[in-house]
Amino acid sequence: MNEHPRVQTMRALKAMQHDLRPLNAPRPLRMQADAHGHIVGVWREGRLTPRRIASVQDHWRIDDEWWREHAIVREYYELLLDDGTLLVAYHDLLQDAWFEQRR
Amino acid sequence: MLWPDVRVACVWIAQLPLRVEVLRHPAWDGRPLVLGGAPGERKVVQLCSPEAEQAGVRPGLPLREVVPLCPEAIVLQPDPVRTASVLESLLTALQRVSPAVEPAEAEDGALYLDIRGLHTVYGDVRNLERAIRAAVPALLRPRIGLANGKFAAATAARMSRPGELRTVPAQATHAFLAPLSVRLLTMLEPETLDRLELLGLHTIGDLVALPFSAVQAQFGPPGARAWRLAHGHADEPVIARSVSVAVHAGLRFDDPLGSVEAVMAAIDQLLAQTFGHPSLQGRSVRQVRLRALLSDGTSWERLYTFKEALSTREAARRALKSKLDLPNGLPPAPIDELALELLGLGGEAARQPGLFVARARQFAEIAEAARQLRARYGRVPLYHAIEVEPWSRIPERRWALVTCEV
Repeated sequence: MNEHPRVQTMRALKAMQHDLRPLNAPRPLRMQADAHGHIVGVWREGRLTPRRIASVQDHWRIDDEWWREHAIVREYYELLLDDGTLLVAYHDLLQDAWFEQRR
Repeated sequence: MLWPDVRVACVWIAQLPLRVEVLRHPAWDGRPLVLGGAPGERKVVQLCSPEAEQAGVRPGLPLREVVPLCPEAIVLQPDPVRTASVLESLLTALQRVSPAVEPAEAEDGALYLDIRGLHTVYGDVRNLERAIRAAVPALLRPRIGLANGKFAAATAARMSRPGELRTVPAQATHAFLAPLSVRLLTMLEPETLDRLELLGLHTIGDLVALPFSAVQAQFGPPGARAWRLAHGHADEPVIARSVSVAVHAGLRFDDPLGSVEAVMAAIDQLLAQTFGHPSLQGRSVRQVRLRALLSDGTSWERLYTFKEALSTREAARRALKSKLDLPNGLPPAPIDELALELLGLGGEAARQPGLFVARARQFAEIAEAARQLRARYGRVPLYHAIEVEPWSRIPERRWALVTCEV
């Protein structure tokens, strides 16, 4: 029995998924808090020392795919670190985990 | 003799390759010298000195017969690099005598000087002769001929003895050439010269006696030119060497180089020196000349002309390596000295790849790289970025890397 063209397309796309590697995937980030629980520094993956947050440049929130099994709820921050680096980090509110990611 | 009606001086060095060897080894002057073939060429006599000729040696004779005929003969191999270098230095020296000097072919050994107007500088042709002789080493035994045209001047030089000046004023040209053999008309093919003799035309005077139209009809343009020259027409100009910019560098080695790798390492160094030269800034190169002095006492020279002008050291290196990798690409003996010269310098604009051709070539190169990676790793670890959901608010959904299928 011949498959419906749509099924064929979906199958081909699924096969393609194996060869697709997402660009700009989030990377885990460790945050440092002070005695009051306020976040004051970040420790990026592969770095020897943490960095202090000098200021927060921007802040936004994404609520998406709430109709799916794994909804996305993220709070993004654009942080200026004490060495002058601009870092975009987000807090995954569902997992309570931090990640860094380019905009 | 003050200044007769002459316009061209010819400096002729008979058997130039042999005289260059005498210049290197003055003790060989007057000894029988024989020039054999280069390695890989026929083993016959190419050229021999008058002393060797007296012993019965002739050009074309097999080399193995030279020693039985003339046991004291010195047999030499062609040394084009030294011959060219001596000719170059002669040309430079003679350019101080006259600004217009036409270089000679190495096998001919004749150089022409345009001497029009030089009477105001030298006053007497004897002074001009002294200036020419001062520029040419005496061991080369230069012969000098002055005439109204190049052919008559060259003939006068050939007819003179070493150390003698032969002058043929314009009005005497016809009388000077008439009794000479038609064999001197070297612009004609040997078959044509044979035909002339078959027709009973043995001297230049015999040819001149014929109407121009008849000679032209029988022998075509070369015959017409020969007739004009035989008549003393002197309308062929002295063509001075055009001044071309060249960049060169050389290296001398304590241990002679024998392998392609060692030669390429030396060439790398020479290319670094030459391409770093300020006069090459923003310019491209069309030709490279390699000259080598070999450990067996001979020399080697190659002039490579590239299909497209090269403007980078790496491109020149690749092009030279492909030439040296060819059979007989390397010199026949280890290299003692190596010199590299960049010629045919042009502007950067000389290298202008096509807009779409370059892209197609780039894809071909990537496809070849992918093929080799697949053979090596069993897969192709090459990816290109594609837009997946560029409208997505979620950054990792917008772009993805996909395996490169080439």
